[in-house]
Amino acid sequence: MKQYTIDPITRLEGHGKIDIFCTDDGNVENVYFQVPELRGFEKFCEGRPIEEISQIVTKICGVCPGCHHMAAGKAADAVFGVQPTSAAKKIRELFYMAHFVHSHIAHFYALAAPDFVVGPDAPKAERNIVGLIAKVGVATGTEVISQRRKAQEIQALLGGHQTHVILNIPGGVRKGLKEEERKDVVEKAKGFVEFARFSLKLFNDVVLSNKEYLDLVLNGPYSLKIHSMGLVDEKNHVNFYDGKVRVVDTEGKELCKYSANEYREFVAERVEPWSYLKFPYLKKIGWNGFTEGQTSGVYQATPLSRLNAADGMATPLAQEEYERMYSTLGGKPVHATLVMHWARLVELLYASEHCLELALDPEITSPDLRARIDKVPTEGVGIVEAQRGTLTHHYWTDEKGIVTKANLIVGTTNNNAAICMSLKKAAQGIIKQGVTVTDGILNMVEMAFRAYDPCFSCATHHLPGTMPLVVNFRDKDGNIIRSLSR
Amino acid sequence: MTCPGKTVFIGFGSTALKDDGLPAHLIGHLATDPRFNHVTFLTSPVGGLELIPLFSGHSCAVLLDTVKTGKAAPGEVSHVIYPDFNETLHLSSQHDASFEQTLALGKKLGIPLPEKIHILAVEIVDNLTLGEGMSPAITERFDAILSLVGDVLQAVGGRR
Repeated sequence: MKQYTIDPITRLEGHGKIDIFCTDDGNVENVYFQVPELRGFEKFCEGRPIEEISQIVTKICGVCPGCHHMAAGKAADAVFGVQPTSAAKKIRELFYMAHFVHSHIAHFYALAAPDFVVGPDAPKAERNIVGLIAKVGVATGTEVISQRRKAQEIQALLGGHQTHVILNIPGGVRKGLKEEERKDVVEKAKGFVEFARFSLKLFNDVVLSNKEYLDLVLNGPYSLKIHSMGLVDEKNHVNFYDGKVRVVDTEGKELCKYSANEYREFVAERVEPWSYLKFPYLKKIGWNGFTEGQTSGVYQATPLSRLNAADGMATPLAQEEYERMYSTLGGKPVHATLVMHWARLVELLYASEHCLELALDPEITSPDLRARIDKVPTEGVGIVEAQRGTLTHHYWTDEKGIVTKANLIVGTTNNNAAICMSLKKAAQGIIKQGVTVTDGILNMVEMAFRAYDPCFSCATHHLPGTMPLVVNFRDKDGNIIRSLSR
Repeated sequence: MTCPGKTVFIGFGSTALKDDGLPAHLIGHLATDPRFNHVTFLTSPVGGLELIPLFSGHSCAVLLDTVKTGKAAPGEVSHVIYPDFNETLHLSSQHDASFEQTLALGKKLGIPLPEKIHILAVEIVDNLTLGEGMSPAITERFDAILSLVGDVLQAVGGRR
């Protein structure tokens, strides 16, 4: 048996390794995606006051700090048994929509679009955001930087720092919005909406109008038929900040719907000896291995799964795009992994529209920013949608509010099994007997997990084709007969 | 060597990862030093595309990061001027763009970037353990590191 090792695939927020086991004739038999690093952030939270946790967890990762801040903030509310005031909730959501706008713009233009606009097998020196701008024009590049920056400015305005956020306190927020600031946010949000619409048009023109790309998206080795998870509001519309977690099966039928504090009745975590990253699965179905289909316990929590799990979008323009997407693809649910990029743009439009809605809401400048706390702290769960999946924070405290135990299921952890399976399918579909493993081939394998926008390490979706890779080709005795690296 | 215009000093890292937080701790002192009243001090966990707006409006940038090569003594400060260095951990964001691609993008878009980019890298001991304090070796050398970095900043980013 031959073995290909891709190690490291990560450098920043964790470390990962891919082992591809091949048969003697060169076909892929199995793939293991391993996370051999333990970060142990939950242990770090123990002994800290619960009201500090939402600030501490922003340092888990410099990429989605706002998500951890929101989940921890909501969990702290629950620990004290308090709901934030209406105005405070809107301030939080305003911050959070800006967080989604900046992250989704960065992912699409810097990580996803180069594969399609420049080409999946284009020279790696060109397959990046610089190459992308060369194709789509300087004006678009300027807008990418400008819109992303404006979203960051809104986060910094409300959160004190765009990354190390200090917005949330139990029952509310530290800072409100002044009228002059609100007017500025309105103008910025209008720009987000226009740019999101432009981005969807770009996707339509470049990907959907290209038969080869559309075939790759829909019929390539990138499909995975598993269940879909996402947070929804009372109308079953996509919601990033609040609501209930809904899971639909591979046919689109509701499997379960639960509140944050019920998550342990619905999700369990499996441990594999070869990875520190756990494998969550649907408890009521059970763990049936790395399998697809209705009997599988594996689910995904991604932009695509959020749309699959919902009945629609809560804003009008995003709803139009939602309907167009499913109409184009032949209905719901969709299991084509690369459609996550399209779904992410629909979400970008929703976040932009909702950002504008909130900025236009008269209550957003209300000084009523914190609810009174009068209960002894105990235990609480907070769930939000992170860009990379459903994010759960669960804390237990003593009567003084000191954390005694914590459990985090981060966005990417939900997708651990799905990523392993997507990698295997992509590798099996791409690396075959007689196929020369080139840089382009490696990039097409990378595309399978880059779509998930994973966060155990930023490097797993490093710039297309520039992710640090070492692939060892081994003979049946395990001897390296050829190495490729970049 | 002195910067002809406005200077921005950016420290990278996380204060929750032991020595990784050294730049932020140094900035806490440098920002109150009257020698550097004219310098803009910023902290950032990661670079990438985020650097473009941070650089904007400054003709000189000084970036302070930590390194763990194991080949230098803890606290040793290396000073390189772009582009005389290899790829780095924090100056790139693997969620969007590398340091060099960020600069290339800025130039392609016609965004005025600093004429000189100085990178200071401090050899550290532990950037993987979760904790707000620093390792004993770096804590012991903190004042010396602060002095070294301050001297470099005065030399490259001081007033004309």
